[in-house]
Amino acid sequence: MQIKMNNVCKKVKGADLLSDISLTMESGNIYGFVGDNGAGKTVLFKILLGLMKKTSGSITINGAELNDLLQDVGFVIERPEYIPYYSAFKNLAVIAAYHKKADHERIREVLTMFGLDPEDKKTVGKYSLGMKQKLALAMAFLEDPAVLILDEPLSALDESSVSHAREKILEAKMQGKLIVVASHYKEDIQSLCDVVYKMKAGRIVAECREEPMNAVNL
Amino acid sequence: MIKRQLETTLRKPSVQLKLLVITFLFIPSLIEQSGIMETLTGEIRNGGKPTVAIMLLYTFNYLYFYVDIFIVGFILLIPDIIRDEHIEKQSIIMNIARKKAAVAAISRIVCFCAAYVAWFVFLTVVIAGLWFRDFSLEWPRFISIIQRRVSRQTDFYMEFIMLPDNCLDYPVPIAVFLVLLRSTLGFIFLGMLASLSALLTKKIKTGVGIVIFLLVAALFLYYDFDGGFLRYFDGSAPLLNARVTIDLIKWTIVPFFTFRSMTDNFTDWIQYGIFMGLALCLITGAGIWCYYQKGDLGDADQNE
Repeated sequence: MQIKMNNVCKKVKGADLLSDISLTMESGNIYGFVGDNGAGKTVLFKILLGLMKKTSGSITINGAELNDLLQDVGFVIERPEYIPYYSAFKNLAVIAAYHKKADHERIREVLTMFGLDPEDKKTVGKYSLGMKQKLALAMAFLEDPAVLILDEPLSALDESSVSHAREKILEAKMQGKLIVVASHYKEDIQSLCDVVYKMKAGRIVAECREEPMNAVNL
Repeated sequence: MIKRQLETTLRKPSVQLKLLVITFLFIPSLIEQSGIMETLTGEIRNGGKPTVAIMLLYTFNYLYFYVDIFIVGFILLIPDIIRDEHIEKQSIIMNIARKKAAVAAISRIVCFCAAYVAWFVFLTVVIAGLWFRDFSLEWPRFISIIQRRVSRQTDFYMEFIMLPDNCLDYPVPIAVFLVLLRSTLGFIFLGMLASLSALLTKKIKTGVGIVIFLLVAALFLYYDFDGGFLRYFDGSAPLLNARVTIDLIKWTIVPFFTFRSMTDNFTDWIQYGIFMGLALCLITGAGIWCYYQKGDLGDADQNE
């Protein structure tokens, strides 16, 4: 899969949230986005997902214009989404019911993959922040999507969970998925990303392919 | 999917609490009104007994039930009805296309409003059924007697039943169906308007506020302007035609839920309520549809 963004801009009430974003992303790679709060990473991810409409420019998926919601995608964006009065298993069952791609076995597998107990009856509202983040990751991986868009995927996780989740993200890359990650942590960028874009005030100000850390340090 | 959405929302503790409060407000009021209905109609010789069907018509035409319970409860539930609060972005993306997401959003409001009305229908049938022990589907004689008295202006207190002239032309089940359809469309319109306002302003409280405004405006006109008539004297007109009356009540939400008085024409009002309700549902539904095609999604409450 190839996602190509060409001069993508987003304006809201006269303010430029994104300006002239042009980049190409391909399957089998992890693309990192770094930048301060308000740099435009989340807006960019929402536009990629199709949740936000771009003001101008074009986005193509394998050459076809994207004018709707992005399909075959898993994501963690802004804050983990979950139904607080359901168990983790029931939360994933609710999401799985949309496409019926993931059965109960897959739900158990993906929960275990991120260190959650599928048989745990505790409601997610009683989970710690880290456990909620694990659930969000499990939700993103649930249907084994071709594209993963992960905004601060490892925040709130403890050290062992971070390295475990990194492994899973790298495994997904090896399986040929296209992965987009935003993170404030240098270690995440260094250990995960093949290409890193540094964003500032809605623009890409640096792109590093060989030495991802260079973008972080710019 | 709608079943899943209904289940998810109805299992929300805050929704259950709100429904419980509304239900506890409704049940004693309904019991009280059933008692009043029985007492008043019992005074009419050979008038027959009230039935469940009459109580249904009464409940869903009684302005105070709407003002004190149904619409207040609905306003409390608006934030839960108009969006999938906890998994909003996931549920939009899972719909695959914006068109499908729009259909899901509209269907969600329609189903909730239908379920909301159905819940109070159920309560009325059970409670009035236990109270009157009469499930017959015929018009009791007291209705026509009351209507005659009201038209002769001898018995105004009987007007509380609020079943207008010529409703007796319809079989009871049809009259009940039309009244319930009208109310359901009224709630769907309010829900869709709240949803559209929330989408456009990205604030749920705008949606809630607009419904409160419509309710307050309707009550203001109904009570402070003699049932919604705005009267003034036109100085330039001949003296006999100088008194000008503008009927404003049909520009409020009142015709979606009740009649103005027993001297109204049942067919005219119910037709107006249903067709206007349907038209406004279509307009607001089209607005939601267009927003889903063109607007930014998944950030309904980003400023709150």
